[in-house]
Amino acid sequence: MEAARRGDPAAQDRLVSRHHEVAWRVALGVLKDEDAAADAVQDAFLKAFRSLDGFRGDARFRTWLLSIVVNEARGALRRRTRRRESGLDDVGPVADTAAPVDREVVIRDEARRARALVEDLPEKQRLAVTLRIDEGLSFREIGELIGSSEGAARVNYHHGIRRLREKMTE
Amino acid sequence: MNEMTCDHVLDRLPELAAERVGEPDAGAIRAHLGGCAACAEAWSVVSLLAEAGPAPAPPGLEARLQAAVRSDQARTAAPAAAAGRRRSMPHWRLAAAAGIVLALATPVLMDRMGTESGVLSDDLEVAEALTESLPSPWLGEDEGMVAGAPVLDGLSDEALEQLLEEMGG
Repeated sequence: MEAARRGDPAAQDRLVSRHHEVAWRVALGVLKDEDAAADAVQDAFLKAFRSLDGFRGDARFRTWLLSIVVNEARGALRRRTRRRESGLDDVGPVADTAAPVDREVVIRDEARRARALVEDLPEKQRLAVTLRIDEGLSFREIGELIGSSEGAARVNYHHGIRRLREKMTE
Repeated sequence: MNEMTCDHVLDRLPELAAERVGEPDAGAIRAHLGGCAACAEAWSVVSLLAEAGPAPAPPGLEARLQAAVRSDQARTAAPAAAAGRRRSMPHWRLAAAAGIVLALATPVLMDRMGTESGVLSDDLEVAEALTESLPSPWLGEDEGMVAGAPVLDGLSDEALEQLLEEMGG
């Protein structure tokens, strides 16, 4: 971190390498558009590296970076006018019942369906679910990122899981 | 075995899916799932999401970001380095240049003092500004004012050197 703060390009490259995937997923969770998410992540990284002197180190760098990503993504969302279509049509329920059922195919298709349903959750529930499951963030960290308390982050996660459960059994 | 509430179990399902829950907690969670239909359905959702895995970043994104950061850092570092070079000019050079400015300005001021009393106060203010706070050998690099600094600000090293040469300094 100190090397990156001094402007060491190799150290900055390492920080990008370590955090770019989660940053992109968080931006995608807000924007639901891959290209827009990539642009927002780039803007976020540039802002983060310009502000490294302001990073006090009392929070994890990842949490601090992701808060910048969320702000950038939300800003891009506000500027955007086009609505992205839901991807639900691309994943239907499972295999043709006339053919022998391959359990692995069933699970894979159900997993893709669950992922697609996540995109239809409200933003805070979507972020709470994905940050908890995919990134293993604590509810306190999730709250910092989505702009709510730890308790509210937990509630958003619970509601998100409950809503997904209902959708999966429809 | 620990009894767990539904909320507590729901909180920890992602860890269970990632196989990061040790015993006896894992056993307690599984026991709860065996007896609670709602939590069992939640477990099926969480495990499916974990099975699908997060979306991978597009290929090339990492390289794109690294290139953008390098370019931006180089761009913001260049003006800062140039300003640093100007700020880090040795005091003796600034003092010499300030002396030159004073030497140039004093005859003009003296002349005007004798003829145009109306502008005397303005000129005296200029003279005072030029003579104010000459650099002290005890001051650190970033401390203190240098006489004529506003006049000298922005002059490059080459311009100052040329000025010194012309004055025989």
